[in-house]
Amino acid sequence: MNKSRLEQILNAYGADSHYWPEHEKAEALVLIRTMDDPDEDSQTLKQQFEHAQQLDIHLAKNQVPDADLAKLKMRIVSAVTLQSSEPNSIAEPNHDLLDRLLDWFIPNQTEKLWQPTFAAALTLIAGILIGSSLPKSVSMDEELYYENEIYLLGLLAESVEVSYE
Amino acid sequence: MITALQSGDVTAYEQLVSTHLQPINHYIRRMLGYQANETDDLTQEVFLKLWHKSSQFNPDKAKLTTWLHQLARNLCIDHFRRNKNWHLLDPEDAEPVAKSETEPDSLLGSLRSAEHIQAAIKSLPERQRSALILCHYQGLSNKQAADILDTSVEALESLLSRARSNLKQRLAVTST
Repeated sequence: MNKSRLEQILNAYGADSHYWPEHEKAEALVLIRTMDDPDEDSQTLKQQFEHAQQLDIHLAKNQVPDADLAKLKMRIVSAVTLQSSEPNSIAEPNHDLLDRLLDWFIPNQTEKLWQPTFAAALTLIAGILIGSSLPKSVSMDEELYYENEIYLLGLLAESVEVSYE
Repeated sequence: MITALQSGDVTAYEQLVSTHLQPINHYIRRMLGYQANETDDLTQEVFLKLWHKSSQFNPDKAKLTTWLHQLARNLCIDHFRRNKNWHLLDPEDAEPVAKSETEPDSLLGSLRSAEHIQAAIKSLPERQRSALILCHYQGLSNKQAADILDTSVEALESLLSRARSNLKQRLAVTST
């Protein structure tokens, strides 16, 4: 602890040692007693101490007005109590990407019927596009392969609609 | 108590609310100003986050009061952003304001100066204001305040020095 550090403490925490860093408090208090010495450094320190003290007096006037905390507490606890009484409501909704995708494709609300319908239509359109983009002359094996693929896409579209029902 | 809260114990939650409601509410009111209507809403939101996110709190790493003040501070910052109080979020020093006249040494003068002091504190940039409120009014240690502001103790002391310097200029603090 030296006068430079003590000045930093006064500038940051004020003149009240209650606010000073605990591990430096004892040494700082010893040093502060030298501010009544007649030398220039001590007089500068004394002035800084008095400035800090003046500001502390002003800051102490800034008291928080009373508020109805009992009412606020009741409101806070009630909000949680109400939530707790609802099933599966304690935890916040899971916002994992997979869950959001599933919620989008298989929504719970009727108003969002367009979502699984859109998904099914999309797969159908994809299948048609794939089929129409195929070259006309294909081998028997390739034709069978593509037919199977289109058939599987159709099954997928149906399964999405069924799972929604 | 924390373990009980994390298990969904409402009684434990109620006890924690009782313990921490006043300091958190006071912090938010000092940050936003005593007339702001949103202080109760933000206070409630802090404790709702405590309920929903208690699993994220690790008592081995920090005290609950530190974590709650962090939540409160983040909500205050969000509030400033929503209300477009960008200048209060500026991390740089506030511009020195003109010195005010010395208040008369009377009861009326004392009452006026309390409002003046709150206005002066409210004019500080958010980080300086938070640093001052956390250390001077909330009774937190410099280490706790530094953790809440996600900074070092040295940087915290720099914030405090600048805050007090700005306040001295605004309040025209001089030696007697």
